[in-house]
Amino acid sequence: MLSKPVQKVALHLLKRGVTVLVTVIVATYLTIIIANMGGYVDEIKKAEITERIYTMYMNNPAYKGMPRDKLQKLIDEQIKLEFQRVGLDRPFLERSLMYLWDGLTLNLGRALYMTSDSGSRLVKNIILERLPQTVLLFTSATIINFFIHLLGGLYLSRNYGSKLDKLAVSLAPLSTPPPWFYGIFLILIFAAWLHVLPYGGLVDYPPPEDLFLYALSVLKHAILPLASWVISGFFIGIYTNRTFFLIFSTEDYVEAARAKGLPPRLVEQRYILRPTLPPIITGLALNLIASWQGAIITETVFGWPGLGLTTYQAIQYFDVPVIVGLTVTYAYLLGLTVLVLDVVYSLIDPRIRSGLPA
Amino acid sequence: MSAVLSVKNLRLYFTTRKGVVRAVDDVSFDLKKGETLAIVGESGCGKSSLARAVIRLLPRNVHTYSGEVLIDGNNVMKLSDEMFRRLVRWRKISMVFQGAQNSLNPVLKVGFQVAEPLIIHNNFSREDALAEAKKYLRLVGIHESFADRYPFELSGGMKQRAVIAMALITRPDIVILDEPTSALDVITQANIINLLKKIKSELGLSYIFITHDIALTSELADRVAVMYAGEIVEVSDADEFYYKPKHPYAEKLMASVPTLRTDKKLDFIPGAPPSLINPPQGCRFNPRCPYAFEKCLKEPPPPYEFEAGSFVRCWLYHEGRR
Amino acid sequence: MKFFKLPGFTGAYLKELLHYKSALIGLILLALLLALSLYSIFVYPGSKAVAYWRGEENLWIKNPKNAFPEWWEIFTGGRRLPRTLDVYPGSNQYSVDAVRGMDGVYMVNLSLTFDYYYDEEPSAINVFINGTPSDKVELYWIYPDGRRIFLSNVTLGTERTIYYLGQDIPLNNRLAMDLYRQIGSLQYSPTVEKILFTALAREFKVQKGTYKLVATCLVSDPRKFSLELLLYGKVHGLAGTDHLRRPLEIALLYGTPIALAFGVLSSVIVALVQLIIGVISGYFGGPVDVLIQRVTEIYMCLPFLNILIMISVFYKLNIWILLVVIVVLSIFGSGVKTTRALAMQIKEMPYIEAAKVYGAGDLRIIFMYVIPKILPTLVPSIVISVPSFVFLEAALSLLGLGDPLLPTWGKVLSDAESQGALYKGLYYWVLEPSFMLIVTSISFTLIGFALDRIVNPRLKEM
Repeated sequence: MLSKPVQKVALHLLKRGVTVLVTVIVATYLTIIIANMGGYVDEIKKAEITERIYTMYMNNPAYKGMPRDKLQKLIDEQIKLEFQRVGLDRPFLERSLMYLWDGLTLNLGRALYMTSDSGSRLVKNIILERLPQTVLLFTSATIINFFIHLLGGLYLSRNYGSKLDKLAVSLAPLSTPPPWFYGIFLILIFAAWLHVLPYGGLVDYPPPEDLFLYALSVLKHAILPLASWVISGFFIGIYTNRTFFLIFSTEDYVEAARAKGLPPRLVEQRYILRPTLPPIITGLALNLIASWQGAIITETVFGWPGLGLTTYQAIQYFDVPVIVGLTVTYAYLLGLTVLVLDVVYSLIDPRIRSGLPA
Repeated sequence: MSAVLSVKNLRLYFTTRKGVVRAVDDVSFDLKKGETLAIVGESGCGKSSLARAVIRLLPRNVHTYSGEVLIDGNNVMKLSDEMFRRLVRWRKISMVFQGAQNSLNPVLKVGFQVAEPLIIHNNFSREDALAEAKKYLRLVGIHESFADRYPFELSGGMKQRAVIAMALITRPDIVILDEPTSALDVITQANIINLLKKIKSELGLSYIFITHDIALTSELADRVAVMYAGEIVEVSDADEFYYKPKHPYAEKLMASVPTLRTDKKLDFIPGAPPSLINPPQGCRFNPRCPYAFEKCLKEPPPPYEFEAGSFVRCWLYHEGRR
Repeated sequence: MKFFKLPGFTGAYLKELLHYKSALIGLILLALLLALSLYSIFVYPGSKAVAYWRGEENLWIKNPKNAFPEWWEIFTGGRRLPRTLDVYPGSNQYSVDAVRGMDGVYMVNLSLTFDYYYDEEPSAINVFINGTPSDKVELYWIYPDGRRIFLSNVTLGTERTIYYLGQDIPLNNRLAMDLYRQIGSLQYSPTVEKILFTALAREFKVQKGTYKLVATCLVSDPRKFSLELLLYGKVHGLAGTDHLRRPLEIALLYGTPIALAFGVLSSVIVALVQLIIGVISGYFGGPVDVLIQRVTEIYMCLPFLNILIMISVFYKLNIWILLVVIVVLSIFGSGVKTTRALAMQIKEMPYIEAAKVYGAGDLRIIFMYVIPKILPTLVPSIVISVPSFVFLEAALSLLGLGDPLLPTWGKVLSDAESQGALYKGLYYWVLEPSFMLIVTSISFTLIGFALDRIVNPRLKEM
C-alpha cells in the first residue's frame, strides 16, 4: 500500500487528470460542432466512403463485365448501405458524438488535398510529421526566454531603483507587438536588406547530406524565428519577473532569514527563489502553451514547416479534415502540458501535495 | 552588573518620497545581563525600526545609520556587513519577529529552518543540527514530530513557539522580541509569555521586549523604556514605572490602561501621533502634553537622570517643577 | 444607466496621468489617431471606402502598380523618380487634325506631346484608344533628339482598347534588335519602357526633353475617337500603391477607425464581461462559484486561436461578427480569476455588511459597491490590451481569414506578404501598415503603463 503523502498526491493528480480530460473532450466536441454545423464533417465522411466503395468496385475484376448503369446502381446501393452502417443518417447530435469519439481517439481521417512528405494522406501522419518541428522550435524559444527573463529579473530585482531598472521598466511597452510582427521586421532587415540570414524555411535547398551541416543549416534558419520570440517577450518578461522577485523578497521570512545571519546568496536561493518556483513554473507552462498557439502565425511568416504552417496551408486549401485534426491535436497538446505542469507543481509545492490551494 | 548590550546615539533615518523619516533619533540605552528591557510605545513611534537598527536589518532607502552598538564592550557598528553577519547575527543577538505567521519559509520543513543557524554559524552537520532543533522544539513545547512538517501544518501559537526555538538555538546572549504575541489570542499569549519567562531563567538570556501593550510587559519586564517619536523619553525600573511613571506621555499611557481591581477614570491622549519626518520643535510631545510650557516648545530636553540607569527627557524635571 | 455609479475619480487620475512624460506622448499619439479616424470617416464614409477598396470597374487603372510613396526619394540619393504622366484629349499637349477622306472614312493625325525630366523610365506605358470598332491606328514615337520610330498598328476590336506597350513582346524584340545594331551590347536589360526613354548609350540614361507620341489613324467617326497616353510613374502619392493599383492611403486612413474601434470594443467588452462573471463567482460563492471556476479552467485550456481559425474558415465572417466570436472565446479567461479574488476580498468589508443591514439587495450591492471598487484597477489592463486585439485582427488577416471587404492594416500587410513584397524590395508596403500598428500599440501601452503606475502603486518600501 502506498504511503499517505503519495496517496494524497496521486489523488490530487487524478482529479486534475479528469479535469484535463474533460477539457479535451469539450474542446474536441466544440470543434466537431463548429465544423459540422456547416455539414463539413459529414461531407468528408461521405466523400471518403464514396471514394472507397467506388475504387473497391471499379478495381474488382469480378465486376469487369457488368454494364455501366447496373454497376453504378450496385455501387450506389452499397454506398447507401455503408452510410447507414456508419450512421450518417442518424440525427445531428448522434453523429456529432460519433465524430467526437473519432476525434478523441485521434482517428482523424484522410486529408482532402494535402499529403505528408512520406506520401500518406492520413491526417494523423501529416500532423505527426510536422509536430516535431513546431515542438522543437517553440519549446526552445520558451526555454530560452525563461532563462533570460529569470536571470534578468533576478539581476534587476537586486538593483532595484538603479538606472538600468528604470530603463527596463520604461521599455516594457516594446513587448506589445507579437513575435510575428517582429519577425516580419527581422526578415526585412536581415534577409531582404542585409542578405545574411534566410527568408524562412527549415533548411537550405538542397539540404546538406552531412548530418552536422544539416543541423547547422536548421540552426541558421531557426535564428530569426527564435529572435522574434526573444525580442517580443524580452522587456515585459524581465519586468514581470523583476516585480515578482521584488515582491517575494519583501516577504517576512526573507527578512527573518537575513536576520538569522544566512549568507545573501543562500537567502536568495532558498528563501526567494524556492518559494517563487511554483508561480514561475506556472508561467513557464502558460508561455509554452502561448508559444504553440503563436506558432501558427510565426511559422506562416517564416515558412517553418511545423503545425502552424500546416494550419495555414490547410486554410488555403480548405482542407477540412486537416483543420479539424489540428484543433484536436492542439487540444491534446495543451491538456498534456497543463497536466505535466500540475505534476511538477505538486512535487515542488508542499501545500499542493496535501490538497490545499496554493 | 555589566551591560551586555549598550546602545549609544543610535540613528536610523530613511529617505521617502515625502521626506526623510527620522525613525530612530539619537537613542541610547543599556541592557544588563539577564534582564528584560521592555520598549513600549504606540504604533509608528519607531520601536520596530529600533530593533532592526540594532541587528542591522536595513532597508534600501537608508539615509543615515550611525551611532554605537556595544556588545560585551565591542562596537559592532564598525564591523563590515559580512563580519557582522558571521559574528553577531544569531550568535550574539537573535530576533523573534512580529507576526511569526510569515516568518517561516512555507516551502521548507520547520525542523530544518530551526536547525539552519547551527549549520551556518556553528558548522554542525545536518543530522546533529536537526537533533538539536528537536531538543529546542521540545523546550518550547512542540512535539518533535513537527520538525518534519511544513509551516502551514502548524497553528499560529505553534509557529510562534517554533520561531522562538529558532531564535534560541545558537544560544545567543540577547534576544530581541518584536511584538511576539500581538497576532495571537489571549490564551496563547499567556502561554507564550510563561514560556519566555521559563526559558529566560533556564538559559540565562537577556531580552529586549518590544510591544505596544503595556499590560503585557508588566509580566516580564525588569526595566521599561518608553519610546515616542523616535526617541526614548523615559527609562525606569519596572516597579517604579508601573507605580509612578515620570514622563507625561508615560503617565497618560498608564492612565489609559484599565485596571481590574480599582475604580479608575480612564484617560486618553489628545491629538495624533507626530510625524517622523517633521517632528515638533522642542520637546516632541509638547503639542499633546498638558503640562507644556514655553521651554518645551523651543528646546528638546536632554536626559535627566533621576536614579542610576534611569532617566527621563522632560523639562519639568530639569526645571525642578516635578 | 442610472444604477451604475460612475466613479468621480476620473478627473483626478487624468491630472496625475499628465505628470508622466510617457503618458503625455501616448495621449498625443492617441489624439492624432483619433483625428485621423474622424478625418477618414468624413472623407470615406463607410461604403465609399469599401467600394474604393474593391476597385470596381477598373477604378484605379490610371494608377501605377506597386508604386513607392513619393517620399521614398529620400532614399534614392537625389534621383528624381517618375510620377505618372497623363496626356489626355483636351489638354494643350494633345493636338488633333482630322481630314475627311473617301468612303466616309476620316484620316486623323494625333500628336501627344510631353516633357520628361525624371531620372528613371516610367514603370509602364499604356495607350488608351477610344473609337469605333475597326478604326485603325498607327503609332510612332519621337524622341527629344528627333529620332522617330514606328511602334505598332492597332485595329480597334471594341469601342475601347488599351494597348500595353510593355507587354508587346514583338515590339520589345524589334526595338531591342534595333538598339543593338546601333550601339552594340547593352549594359542594361532593354525593356520597352527603358528603350523608349533612353539616350543612345551602353549604360542606361534617360534622355530628357520633349517627347511625342504620333498617331496616324483611319477612323469612321472622329468625334468618338480619342487617344490617351499614360506614362505610369514609379512613385505615387503619400503611401504608394499596391498590386491592384489601389492607393495605400485609403487602407491606412480607413484602417485607423476600424483598428481603434475593434481594439477598444474588444478589450472593454471582454474586460467587463469577465468582471461581471468574476464578481458573481466571488460574491455569491457556493455552487455557482464552483461551476464558474470549472468552466474557467476548461476555457484556459482551449486552443483559442485554432477555434477562431476554424470558425473563420467555415463561416464567412465580417469584422463585427469576428469581434463577437473573439469576445465569446475570451470571456472565461484569466481576468475572471483576478476579479473573483478581488470580489471575495471586498465582500468581507464592513461596509458591505452595513449595506446588507440596511436592506440593499445583492444586485445593488454588486453594482454600486463591488464593481466600482474593482473597476479602477482594471482600467490599465483594458488600455494595455487594446493593441493585442488590433494585432489579433492583423494576424487573422495575415492568415487570409480577415474581413474580405474592409481595408484594414492587417489586410495591407497580408497582401504585401502574399505578393512577396519583401522579396521584391517593396519595403514601403510592409513598413507603412507596420508603422500604423506600432503607433497604435505605443500610444495605448504608454498610457496604460502610466495608468498602471498610478492605480496600482506597489512596493512603496519604507
